[in-house]
Amino acid sequence: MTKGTVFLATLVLVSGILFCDLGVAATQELYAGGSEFAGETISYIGEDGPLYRYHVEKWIPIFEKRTGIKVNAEIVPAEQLDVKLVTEFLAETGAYNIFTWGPHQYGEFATKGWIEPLAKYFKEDLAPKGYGIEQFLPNIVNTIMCMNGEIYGLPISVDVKLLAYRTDLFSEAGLTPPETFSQEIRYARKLTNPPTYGVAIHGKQYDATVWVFYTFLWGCGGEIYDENWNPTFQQEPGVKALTAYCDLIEYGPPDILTYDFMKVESCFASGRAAMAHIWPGSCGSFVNPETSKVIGKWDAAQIPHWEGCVSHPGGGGTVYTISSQASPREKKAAFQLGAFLSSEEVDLDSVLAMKNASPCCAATFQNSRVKEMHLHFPAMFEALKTFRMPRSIAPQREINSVVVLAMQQAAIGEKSPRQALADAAKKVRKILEEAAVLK
Amino acid sequence: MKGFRKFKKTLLPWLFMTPAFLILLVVLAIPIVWTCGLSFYDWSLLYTTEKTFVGFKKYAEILTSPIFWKSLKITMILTVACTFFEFIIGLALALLLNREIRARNIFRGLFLIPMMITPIVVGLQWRWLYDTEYGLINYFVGMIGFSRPNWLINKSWVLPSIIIAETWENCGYVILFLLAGLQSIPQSLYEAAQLDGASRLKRLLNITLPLLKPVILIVLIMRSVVSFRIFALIYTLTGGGPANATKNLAMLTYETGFSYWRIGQAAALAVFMMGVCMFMGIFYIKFIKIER
Repeated sequence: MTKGTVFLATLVLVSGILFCDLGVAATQELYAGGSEFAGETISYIGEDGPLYRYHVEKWIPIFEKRTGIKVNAEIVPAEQLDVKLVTEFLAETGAYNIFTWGPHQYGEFATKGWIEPLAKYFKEDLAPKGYGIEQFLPNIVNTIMCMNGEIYGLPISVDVKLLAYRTDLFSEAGLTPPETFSQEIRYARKLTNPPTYGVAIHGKQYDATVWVFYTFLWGCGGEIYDENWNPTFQQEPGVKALTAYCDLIEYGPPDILTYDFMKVESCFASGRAAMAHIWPGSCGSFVNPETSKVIGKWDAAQIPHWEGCVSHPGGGGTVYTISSQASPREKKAAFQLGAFLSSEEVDLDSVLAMKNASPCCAATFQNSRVKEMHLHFPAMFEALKTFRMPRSIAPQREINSVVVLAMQQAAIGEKSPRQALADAAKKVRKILEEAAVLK
Repeated sequence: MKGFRKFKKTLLPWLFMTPAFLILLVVLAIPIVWTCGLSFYDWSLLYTTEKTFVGFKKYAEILTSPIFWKSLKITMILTVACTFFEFIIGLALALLLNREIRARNIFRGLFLIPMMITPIVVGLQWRWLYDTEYGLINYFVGMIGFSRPNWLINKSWVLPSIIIAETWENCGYVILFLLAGLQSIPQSLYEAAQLDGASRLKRLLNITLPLLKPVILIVLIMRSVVSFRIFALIYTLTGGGPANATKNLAMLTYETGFSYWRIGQAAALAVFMMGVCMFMGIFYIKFIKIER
């Protein structure tokens, strides 16, 4: 070996060590210098789920060590969370400073001033170095973080509708992922060969089914309301959307109208559906040898749209929101916790640990290891560019129930799609009038 | 000493009952009174934390709401059918288990297992049993040559599906109570009747049922009230669907209060349900005249 080679090798080795050191030093910078709120105690409540448990079990202790802020954490079943929060807010106990929340429900709390607008905290330099709105995908900022232009949440996961499809069945039939609803219906018909069915999709009468209709509606160029909050979902695009849904479920399993997200997931994972409208969180079960019969035989694509329109998959996500009933110091300390848990460091780690299939940071999507582990990420990244949520309004849940009822009435043939939506629009109008949104 | 004896006789029993009274007051009486009070207020948590007194307006709203009448009809069908089948099947099984049959104790245990399972688990279990393609029920239906109904989607079958699941779950309660009642009936009465030549049916109608009246009354009231407010089973099986075909008053009240946050309206629905349950109790007491 020549002197030059040794010198070059040494240079490379030292550079590598320095580079790695820089890399380690960069992640350690998150609150490495502690926090001005050391000694403060804040309370956290989250819904029960793998990601939130991971935050509580791994990352909150790390946050406590780095900042000196003590966190009292509690996990409750999702169905109990909002009742628990409402009770505490009404009683003004200030029991919880930071909590997991769904951005489509901002309206319920924001109208009563229960959740803290967060824009000012970004300016007060409370967030870790390198943390800022720019780390999130732009569409996530506009949809999940904000309501009416005001930031209320720090995003930790985003749910966007995707189309999972069987690559083996498509290949055999010489098909590529459908781009339009009419293609999807045709392919579903072609690929239906019991016990395998063309498609699995939400059908059960419960909240989450509404996302199917909204996705179809936006994909048909329609809107839920106009700019003055008049319902418009019953107009022609809405009728097309509901008709397409009703036509599609003809090629689903016989009891598709009892399907919630778990049944859609298990139907596709067990190989009983050629396509499925899924949330990203389902993808973990498609790669798990214990639950999946489709390992290596599936991929994800965009949800189709109407001819001449654009796919706008619907969805939501989970954010950390801060109670406005906390003291000023508690709010700031809670913001630091929320910022920490929604940072790139935690976002990437939770994805690599298979605890989160729906990250929010742009950098996570670009990580090569992540792309190898999560097949659906390229489709999800594209979907997030056009992903939409309804404009948040307090009675959104009740409105969603009315729309889901219309879906069911059309699906079982009780009413035509046009009639079902027209009746639903009347009820929605009444709800909006009671809410003093419509005069 | 006299004073202590007087205290022991009159006040001491009340002292021992006070903790139970306090608990009943806190978990039962106060919430009931509070709910009754809330039913006279317009309180929609979606928009405001303030309550506005509106008198009987919330009752008028629910009585003029089409979904209320639909839910009431569904509730009454479920209540009558579940109570009837639970009683008939429970009585038949209790009579069977009261006889000297082989492995009687094992059967007694088996029939009581369903009532020990959490309602949510029962719902999930029956969801799979009713699965159109892979459910056990349709497997046997197909085997005997009938077409396989879509139990939880077909509007003709969805209510019977809930009735079957609910009856399966709660027959154990009926068996338990009736069996205890049957075992308290002196055997000498049956022996005497048998000696007089009374048939099995006559013994049932003239000895068993009359002496079981107090127990039957309790069973009917209990089962009616519980069937009136079925929630967990419907929530897991159908969510109130398809298209509100199984949305009973309990589901409607839950949705109104905890999904739509219309607290005043939900309170009015709850008070209405309480009133109907009280009426059912009074009706049974008057109908099944128990001679002292």
